[in-house]
Order: sequence, then structure tokens, then C-alpha cells
Amino acid sequence: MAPSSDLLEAASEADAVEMLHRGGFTDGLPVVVPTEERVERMLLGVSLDPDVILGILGPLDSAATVEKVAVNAVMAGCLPEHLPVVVAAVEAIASPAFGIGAVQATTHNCAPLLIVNGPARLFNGPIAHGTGALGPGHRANASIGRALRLVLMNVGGGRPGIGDMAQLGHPGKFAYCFAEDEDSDPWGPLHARRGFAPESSAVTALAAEAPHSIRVRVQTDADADQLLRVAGMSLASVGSNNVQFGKGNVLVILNPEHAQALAGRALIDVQRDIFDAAWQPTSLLQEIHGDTIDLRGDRMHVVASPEDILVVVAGGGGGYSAVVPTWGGGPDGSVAVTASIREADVCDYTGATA
Amino acid sequence: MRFYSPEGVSAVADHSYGAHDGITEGTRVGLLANSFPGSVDFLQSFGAELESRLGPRSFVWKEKGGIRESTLVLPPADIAELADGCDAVFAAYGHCGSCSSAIVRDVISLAQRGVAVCAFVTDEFTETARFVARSAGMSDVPIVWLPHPMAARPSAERARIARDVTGAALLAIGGVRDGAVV
Repeated sequence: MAPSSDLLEAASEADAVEMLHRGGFTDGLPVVVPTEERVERMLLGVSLDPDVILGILGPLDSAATVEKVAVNAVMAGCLPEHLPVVVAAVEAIASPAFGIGAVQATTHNCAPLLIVNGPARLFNGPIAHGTGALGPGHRANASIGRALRLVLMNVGGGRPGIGDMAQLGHPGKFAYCFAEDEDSDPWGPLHARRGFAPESSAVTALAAEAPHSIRVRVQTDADADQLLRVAGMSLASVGSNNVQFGKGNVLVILNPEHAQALAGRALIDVQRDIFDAAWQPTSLLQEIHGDTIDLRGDRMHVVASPEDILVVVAGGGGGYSAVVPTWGGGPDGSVAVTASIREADVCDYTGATA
Repeated sequence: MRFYSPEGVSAVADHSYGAHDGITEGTRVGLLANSFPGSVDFLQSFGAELESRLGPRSFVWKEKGGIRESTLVLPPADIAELADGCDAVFAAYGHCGSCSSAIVRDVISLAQRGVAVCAFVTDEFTETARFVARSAGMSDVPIVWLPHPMAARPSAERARIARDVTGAALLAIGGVRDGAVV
């Protein structure tokens, strides 16, 4: 089936890029012009008809078709093999539990963070999980994350100051995607822990703030205890939404060395130790925030239970791990949603460039 | 060169709010507070002003229950309850991105069930509110703009603003015209 989107015309490639900038269709950086040939080649990355609706994206309440996602993936610089990950990411954020309309419209600075698991980390990338995985220089991480952002702006209507009211935002709103270092994860890949087959591929989305660095030198078991305490205390910053709302998921990204130091412990014990440190006294929150938040009990934890703290492994070796606070709004707080990545039946695009 | 537009189009058809009866003696009036700080306070003052202008009446009250809930649209059962019990509903207030979006969607859900409605939204979020109204299928749903911020103001000042916007809200809910920025 051929694409059916409106066709635009420009005198040259440079004029087309400027037209896309003027129309508000870019993230502010130059884009690859989504010509007919490029979009058709991109669509070979998935075995789906272009008019298949992957979900409705708010606040515009627009249908995210495979074709529209492919157009935006071209603009982001994706290769066809990246498209299955982008498609799965769109399906994840379109889930009602994710609440993308409110995630886009909120004045909070959150952005959908994507964590990729399974063989797609290699076959649909490579998607980096090591040193600087959330930084520059990793094409698939940057292009997949950017494609989702362009879909959010152009299909979901999340344009700054209109459909996206983030008061400041953060750099993850350009691109926010990494793979998990599954080989270093003592508790198995994240998607398997969330009910997906370990040999399958999946992407997990979470409406997240920027990562907050935590530095702990871990040489002894007591140091490992301190690491979990620091992670919990860092998640419970008094200004964060999580400690005020206390629902949904938050994320801890352990570097491989820190993960190794915790390898002898059950995941639930790790989560419980983080949880036990991730709170503020209600009296302090009352003093700071007055009646603007809904306080319950003597302590406000960042999430409702230890299992709500997601723990993954990524990054290079060294002393730094990270915690990732989240938006915390929505019926059940910021809930992580995982979607399967479906491979294309054939690989007709081999050797193609976007 | 030819290339594809990356832009999506709202999947929801647009319907006009149309004309509604104004508030009369027999009108059953609902007051929907989204529980953003100060919203209950504001609507209490607004209700008092309505009574001073139109005579005493019993209001149907609905509160979302907390600031986090202000970011959520009302559950369908609550929409149905309000629609069954009210001829007109005033809703306050949109004061952030997600709560402005939610309150506009709430009043549109009520209007689609034949209820006369008016949402109060602060003027920091005019573009968001109008954008969501278009997306949700009722571009001209009545919205009256309040000066931003409302939450941090003293109660007496919120009461004054409530009195000041009552006339605009009464006109807007009848579909006479959109509310004005105060």
C-alpha cells in the first residue's frame, strides 16, 4: 500500500528543510527531508501496512499511523532497521496507562524515556548500553529517540507553548533512548521481569526527568548498602513530584560495577532497601508545600511499594550510577509501559541509507 | 522536490457548542472543582456571586479530590452523574498544562451530553486550552480566562476575581460569546 500523507513541494533540499523548520515540524535541528523514496524505503523496516493505526496521541488526539511514524523517522535520521523500535515505542506511549496527552501537556519537564531489551539491541541498532549511552555519538539511540520526539510534536501536537507546556524541559526531550546491559544485569533483562519472553525484544517507556547522577565508591558490602541508601535519598528530593504524589514508577540505572556489587542480593531486597530510604517526612513536606499536595501518613515515599522501583543496568564502569525521577501524575502515577518490538518479515532494505 | 508532511490530523470531528439557555431560576447548576489549590475557594465565591445575582439555589458540587487528580479527566461515571443532575456546570480551574487540558476535556464531555458549560482557565494556558478544545472536538466550548496565577493569591483576591468574571461566565455558558480575559 502506498503512503497517503499530504505531499509538499520545495525547489531544493535546502528549501524543504527550511519549510519544515518554518512549519514548526522540527525539533530545532536540521532534518532529513522525507521524500517519497526515503519514506517508502523506511517502510520496508516493518511488515505493517502504512495506514495501520498504532495509537491515538494526545493532546491533538491524532492517529499515529505507521506511515506518519515512518515520515518522522526519516526526518530524525533513522535507518529502516530502527523503525520497529520506534513503532513499538509509539505503541507503548499510546497505551492509556501512559497518559501521553497529559504527559505532553504538563508543565513538568518529563519526556518519554525508552529502554530497549532483547535482540533488537543489536539487530535494530546497535543501540548502545555502555559508556555514554544517554549521551551523543550513538546513532541508533539518538535517531530512535529523536524520531519519537518528532512523532510527539507532529502527530501528537506536542509543540512547545501549545500542546507541550513544559516550563523548562530537559535535553532528553530531543532524544532519550538507551539499551539495557543485559549481560551485567544480575536479575535478568527488564522486559523479562515484566512478563515478556527473554528471547523477545521490547521497549519500555517511562515519563521521566533527566537522569540524576549518584556517586558512591563501592568496595565492601557495607558500601553497597550505602549505594542503595543514596539512590533512595536521591530519588526523594523534596522538590520532586514523586515524593509529593507517591505513585507510579521511578528508575534506578546501575552501572555494571555497582550491579556486580549487588549481584548476591535478590532484586526485591535491592528494591526494598532503596524504597526504605526514598521518603520525606510528611511534616517537612507540609512545611514546604503547605496544602498544595495530598499528604498521607507520617512519611511520603516516592512510590507505593518497593516493586515500583525499576532497576536496570547501563553505562560504563566507574563510580557513577543514576536515579531517574518521573512525572508522577496520571491515574496511577507515571507508569512504565512495555511493548513488543516486531521484526520485519524480510530485509529488503539491506544496504539502504535513509 | 516532493516530500511528505509529517503532521497528524485530529481524529475527532469538530462540533459546535451552539446556543444554550442561560441560567434561570429553575436551572440546576453544578460546580466542578478540579482541586487545584484555591479552586474550591474560587468556586465558592463564584457560587455566592451567582446567588446574589440570580437568587438562592442549591448547587451540585463535585471535587476531583487532590492536586494530582486535577491532571486527570473525570471518570465517565462522574460525568454521567453531573450530566444527569445538572443543566449547567461551571468548572474551575485550569492552572497548569495537564489540568487545563483535563478540565477542557471534562466540560466538552458534559457539553456533548447537552449540559451548558463554562470552564475557567488561567491566561497562561490560553493556547493549550484552545488547542485541546479543537482536538477534543469542540473548538468553541466556553472558556473564561482568569489572571495567572490564581493559586498563590489571597482568598479575598480570588473572591474578587470570581465576582469580576461572573458576568462573562453567564454570557459564555449561554453560547452568547467567549469569555473575556479579566
